[in-house]
Amino acid sequence: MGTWRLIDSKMTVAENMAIDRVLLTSRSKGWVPDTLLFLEFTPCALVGYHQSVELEVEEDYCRVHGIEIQRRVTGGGAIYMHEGTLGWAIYADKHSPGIPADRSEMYARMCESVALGLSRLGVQAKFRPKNDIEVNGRKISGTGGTELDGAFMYTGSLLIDFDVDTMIQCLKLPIKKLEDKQVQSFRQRVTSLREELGYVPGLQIIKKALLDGFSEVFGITFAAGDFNDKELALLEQEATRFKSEEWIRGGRSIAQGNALKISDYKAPGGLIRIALRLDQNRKRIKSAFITGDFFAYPERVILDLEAFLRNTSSEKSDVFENVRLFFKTQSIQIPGIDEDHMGEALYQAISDGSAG
Amino acid sequence: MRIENWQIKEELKYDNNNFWIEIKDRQALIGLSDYGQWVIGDILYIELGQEGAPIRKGESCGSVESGKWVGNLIAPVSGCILECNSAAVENPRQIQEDPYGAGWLIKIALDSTDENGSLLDCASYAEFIKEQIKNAA
Repeated sequence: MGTWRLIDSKMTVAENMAIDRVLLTSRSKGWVPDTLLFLEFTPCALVGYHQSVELEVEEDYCRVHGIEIQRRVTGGGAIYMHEGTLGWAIYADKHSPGIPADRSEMYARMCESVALGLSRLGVQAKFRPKNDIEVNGRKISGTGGTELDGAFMYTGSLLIDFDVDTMIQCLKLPIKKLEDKQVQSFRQRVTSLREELGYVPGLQIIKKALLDGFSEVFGITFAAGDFNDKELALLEQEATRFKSEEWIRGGRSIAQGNALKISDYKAPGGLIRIALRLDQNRKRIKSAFITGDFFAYPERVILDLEAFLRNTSSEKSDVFENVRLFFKTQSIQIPGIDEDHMGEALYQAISDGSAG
Repeated sequence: MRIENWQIKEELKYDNNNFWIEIKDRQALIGLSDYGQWVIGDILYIELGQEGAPIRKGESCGSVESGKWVGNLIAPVSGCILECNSAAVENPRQIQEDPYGAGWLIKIALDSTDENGSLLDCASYAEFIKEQIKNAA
């Protein structure tokens, strides 16, 4: 049974971002063993590696409310982190025992570890492909990763006592923020330990549960450790770079888009309201928010469809094909609404949606 | 030539990071092979080095994002970047629709031709793909 180093850190937001580069480098050079790191955060909006701050973050809101803006080394969309969230990250050799070579399988095992840990706390969480952990369709943890030479990192955010309202304000999401009903419905897309359990377990209890999950799934034990001198020296260098505007905003304005598109579509089974964040330049649905006065069984099916559509093509034929594929692979009942109605509703938002 | 669903062009060289390399007059045009783009999956973003920048064989010459994973593009040869395919950066779909044509990635001026011998020919690359498929099964 292998032993991984465990580090429980408390650092600045920039250091939390820089440490990923530091530990990836350290692991790839063989300076350190496989490591699991817990990270705590002060309020911050974190964009994905290839994203553009100005397209993803409400910068004025962040400035006024003291929310730091940073960039991750990992992929995925912008997220909001604060004291009510917990970060976890694994830095390991790609060939370490128990690490699947196939990336989808690796995603699944990582997420299943966290889900198993959450089940120890009494939360019935599940892995939702490709990279989320959800409870009854509601996201409780998002994940992402990257690699350097022979090492990789896989990281996630766990919502413990999450401030959804601030997230809605500080990120550019597919909702009209002035509409209470929309905001209320959007809140249902995410959940937290507080919401699921009715209380907030102690941080050490949560960490222990997650460690148990990883131990069981990967067949490993953990040994508490700390950063070594090489890592600390590298962290000092990298933290300076990560604090720079060049890192946070540099070089990622490549013809991306993030337009808000809203449209109502009348289907026989009721009104379908679609709100999208659309990268019109690269023809991608970045995120979708689907509401209306129809009835969907099971209820979570719409949340799963939203997750399925994330970052998919916005070309008409692809939209219809993706919706058809989703309906085909799921057991869905939406009286008076079929796959073609949903495809039409989505494409109407893409092609003719108002700017919100 | 086809290996299962993937096309391989006989006139090109390859490496084991699934790049194809076309060498002409000490210049190399580089892109992802059909199999390589399939392995990465739906490419959301791609970032390439700056024109004029040196790249070293075995070191990162860019990054690619797919399914929330950011991977490195590892240079198959050493040289200086002459041109990046900005159309592919703006629309990575090109890489997946036409990996050997409109989806090319970078053109570089080679430092020397010494590294060319370590690249794979079409038959060796076909064997490499078969091995990868076998290992993944």
